[in-house]
Amino acid sequence: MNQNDNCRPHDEQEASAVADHFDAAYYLATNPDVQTSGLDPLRHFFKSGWREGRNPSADFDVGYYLRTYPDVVATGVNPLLHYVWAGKSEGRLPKRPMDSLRSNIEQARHPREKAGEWARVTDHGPCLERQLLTRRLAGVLSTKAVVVSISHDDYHRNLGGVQNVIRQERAAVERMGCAYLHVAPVAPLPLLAETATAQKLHVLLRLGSDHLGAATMEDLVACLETLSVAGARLFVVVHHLLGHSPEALATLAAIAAHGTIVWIHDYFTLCANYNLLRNDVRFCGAPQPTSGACGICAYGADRAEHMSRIRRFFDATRPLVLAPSETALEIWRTRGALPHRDVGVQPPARLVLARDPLPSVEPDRQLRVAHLGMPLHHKGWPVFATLARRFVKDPAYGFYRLGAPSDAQVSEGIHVINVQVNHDRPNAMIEAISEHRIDVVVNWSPWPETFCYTVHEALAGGAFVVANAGAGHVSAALRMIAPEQGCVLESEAELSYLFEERRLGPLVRDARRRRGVLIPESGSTPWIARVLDGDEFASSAPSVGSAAVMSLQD
Amino acid sequence: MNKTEAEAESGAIDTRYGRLSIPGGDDVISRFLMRCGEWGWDEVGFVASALPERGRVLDVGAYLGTFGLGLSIRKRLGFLCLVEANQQILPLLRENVRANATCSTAVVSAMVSGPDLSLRPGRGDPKNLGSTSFSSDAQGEPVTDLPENALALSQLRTQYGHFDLIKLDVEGMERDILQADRDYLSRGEATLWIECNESAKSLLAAELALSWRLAAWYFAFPSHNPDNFRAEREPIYPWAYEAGLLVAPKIRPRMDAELEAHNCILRPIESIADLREAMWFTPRWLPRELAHAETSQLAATAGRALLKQSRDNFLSEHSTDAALFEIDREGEEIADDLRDPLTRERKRRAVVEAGFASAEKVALERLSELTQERRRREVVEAGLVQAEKIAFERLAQLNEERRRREAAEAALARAEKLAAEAGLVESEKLAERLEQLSEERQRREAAEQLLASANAHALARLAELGAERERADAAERKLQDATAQFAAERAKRGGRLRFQFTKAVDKPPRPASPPSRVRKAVGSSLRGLMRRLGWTMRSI
Repeated sequence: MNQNDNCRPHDEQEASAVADHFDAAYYLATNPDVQTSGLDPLRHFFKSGWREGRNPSADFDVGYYLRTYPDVVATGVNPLLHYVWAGKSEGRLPKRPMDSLRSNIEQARHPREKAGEWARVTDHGPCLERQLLTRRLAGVLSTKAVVVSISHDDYHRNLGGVQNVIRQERAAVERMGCAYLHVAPVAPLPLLAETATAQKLHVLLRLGSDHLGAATMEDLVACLETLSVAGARLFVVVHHLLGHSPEALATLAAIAAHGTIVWIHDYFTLCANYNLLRNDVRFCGAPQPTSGACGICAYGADRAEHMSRIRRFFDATRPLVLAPSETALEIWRTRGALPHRDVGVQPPARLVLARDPLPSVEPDRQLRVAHLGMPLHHKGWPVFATLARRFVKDPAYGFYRLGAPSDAQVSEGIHVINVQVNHDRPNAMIEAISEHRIDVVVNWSPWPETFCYTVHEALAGGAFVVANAGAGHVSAALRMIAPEQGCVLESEAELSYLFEERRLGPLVRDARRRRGVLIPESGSTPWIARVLDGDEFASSAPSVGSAAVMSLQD
Repeated sequence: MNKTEAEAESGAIDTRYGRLSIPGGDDVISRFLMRCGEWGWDEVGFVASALPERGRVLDVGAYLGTFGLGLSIRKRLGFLCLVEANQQILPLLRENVRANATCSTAVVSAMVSGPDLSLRPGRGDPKNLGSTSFSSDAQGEPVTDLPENALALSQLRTQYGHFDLIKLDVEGMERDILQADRDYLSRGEATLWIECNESAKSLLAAELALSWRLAAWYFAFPSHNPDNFRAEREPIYPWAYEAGLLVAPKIRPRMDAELEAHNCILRPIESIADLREAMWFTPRWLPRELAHAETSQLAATAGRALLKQSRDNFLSEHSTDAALFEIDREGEEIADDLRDPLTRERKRRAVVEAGFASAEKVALERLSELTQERRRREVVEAGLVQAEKIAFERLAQLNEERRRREAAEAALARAEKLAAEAGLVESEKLAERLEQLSEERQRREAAEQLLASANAHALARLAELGAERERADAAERKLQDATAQFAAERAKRGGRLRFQFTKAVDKPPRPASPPSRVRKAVGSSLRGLMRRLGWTMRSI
């Protein structure tokens, strides 16, 4: 037989044999040169693709198959064809078991290694001199108070949950007649800044919406001290410590006579892996830093020092701790609470649903199932992608991803809808869910989320939500806000069962689904307002915190 | 010599964009960078607001890179391509991009031109290198060497791919460049930001863009940003505005509080008359003594200039009743001209009709393609208008409800505080306040419920719109399939004849039969199985 005879599908029989195992969209997405050449992807795979180690789908690894089964190499047969005709029935594996999780583990690295790859920042210009900085900040003396807000990046230029809360907080604080000074590190880091350079750390300053420029922490603290002596009332609100030095922030907090608030937007106060995912894969539950679990984790090496620096900061400031949900607060308290004055709960937004339910889905209509947001492991994408690949040929379901464009490979059959949520269009996701008539949203976060915007958006858009019981606030919010508009499952097996046995359709049709509106809240403002009215943080926090939870339950 | 001047002598200064190399000397943009640490910061702020995240930007006439680098500070860019023809400036531009870019970039040494791609030196004012023109009819002495290369927009697109935003600052060559790439640009897939100098050429470029029926906005901004990087208060040129035309933006442009505070100007443009009027009402220069004049002083000076009055002989002996009468008459005429809607409408109609005639000519050239294109766009535009209407309605409702909620919450907070302060002595008042509190809460909840219902209603309409769009798309796909089927059928009939003919002449070699492959695969499996069982061919 001629060697070339093995290089292309000879007839319809071969083509149809591999049709179910060949994902043309995946092949073109992973091989842009094939796309450019205009060749038929299946033909290319048969001709040369498999010899070059190109995979026909996310579910078949040519390299793995040939490495593991040398007898297949000896035959010279296309490995996919071999798998379909013989390998599958012999129990041979098409790819490494738990490949996606293993890849994540292999790629997990210490944050210090990642820091070198983060974007180089050059747009801040020279640091402002102390006198010029004091002059630029002098205007705050005519306001009722100054809220100094700390976070990991410039909220004005980046999007995300924490940035949303800061934006809302700034608007509310300015409505009260106070000034809002935001401080972010010039060089973003996936960990705390070095102790040695704490006071010389360069930070970006934004007063209200105006970008002031860069300054050293030392100069900033000196200027604010001058202003404090001149009568300015200072509050310090720490939204995130990433890229900051807790030692420098402690000196800043020391001059804020009206106290410090620290937010638990995630679990960074417990570990540099703020999702608490061991090796970026599984929820670890924040064990002791000396535990064996930390010993095998890429984030474990410096965790003891990380926690000790943050503990010293909490010791020095005794802050009011605010969490976006009861679930987040509970996990933070039970997994290693730090010294604090008091705690409170303040959700970033409240969902109010209309009274009238949506009409039921027609029995013969295809159910539209979606993943909202980026295709990331910690957002539950691998579980959704596996589900979609398995049921993509089933006419009962259509699979969608709604979110910003991503470089991640998307398989044939998953419809990608570009949705950009930003401060001009905060409701873009809710509108897209309605516009594309998404029936079901699967949220399978592998860690206990502190507050999940996407679940609120899914409910506001009228979708039925299927969530993982271990997803923290995702499942809690579902139970509290709209138990009749979703279900919480214990395992992936239950999720597969729901689709396989066609149980999802009746569940969605019988559900009382409603649409509604997501009302933004105002961050730390209620606490600051109370202090300005003469109360202390400690006395006011618990009652307002419970009110926030109650309103969420309403 | 201060620090900035000393730095400038060394060729690099600290600016809002980072450390920039500049030509120095009397060059206008260098003077702005030295004094204020920036150039055109409001311009990039405005353009960034109309640009999607991770947009791909082409900066034609990049000069020192302030536009492209500024844009990358205001918005995260996917790719930035900077094109400059001036060989004197190119090394500085390359250094600036190397030192300060925060996204993927390419610097291209070329003159972007229309159909005439012949190389010619840049001409203009040696004190304002930023205004150097490579146009074939450019005036002034040659101030640069010949450019290295000449390219059309389509060539840049072929090399670097699609651009979301194309900025053109090419000193008079805008229309030629747009004309050369009209087939692509008229589809509105790329947003254009075209510099509007005060010249008839700006109107010609705008006329072409408007003939494509793309949405356009005029934006003008003072060259001196009062909140500039170096906090410099004194402008170099008082009341000197720069301006541009934004065509086919994907996000509706708007002015934020900062641009409003800087007295920027934003106007939708539907005709050349609109643009001419917008440019007429854009300040371009004022004498230095009026740099900080109050509005009344400016109005007085402008009025007197319109009436051709001179400060030198103002209220002198020559200022007689006749002169005053003349002033009144001319003033009335100008006012009439400004007020008379009929005159303005006629002028506007004349320009619109001219535009239609030009559009009709283009349409006749490629009638069928354009008609299809237009129908599709009209359907989409109608959908968009409807969606926008819903969004605006809902936004208004949201704002109203939010105001009510905030008022209710404020009252609630006040009531709560009062309730907390009240002692036993004021128990009656307390009860009353608690009742008010309860009422306020009920009112807030009712307001929120109304808001939720309004939003749910708007979303339901959006869902209907989505369903309509899907139906329309499906119908279009069916039509395309039918057309393709028809074409295939026709080709097949012809092909059958050809196939029979080929068969008679040459018989192609037959490929190996699939069963042999099956046998091979199964054979390897059997061999594997035998190995596992410890058998060999001999033992069998």
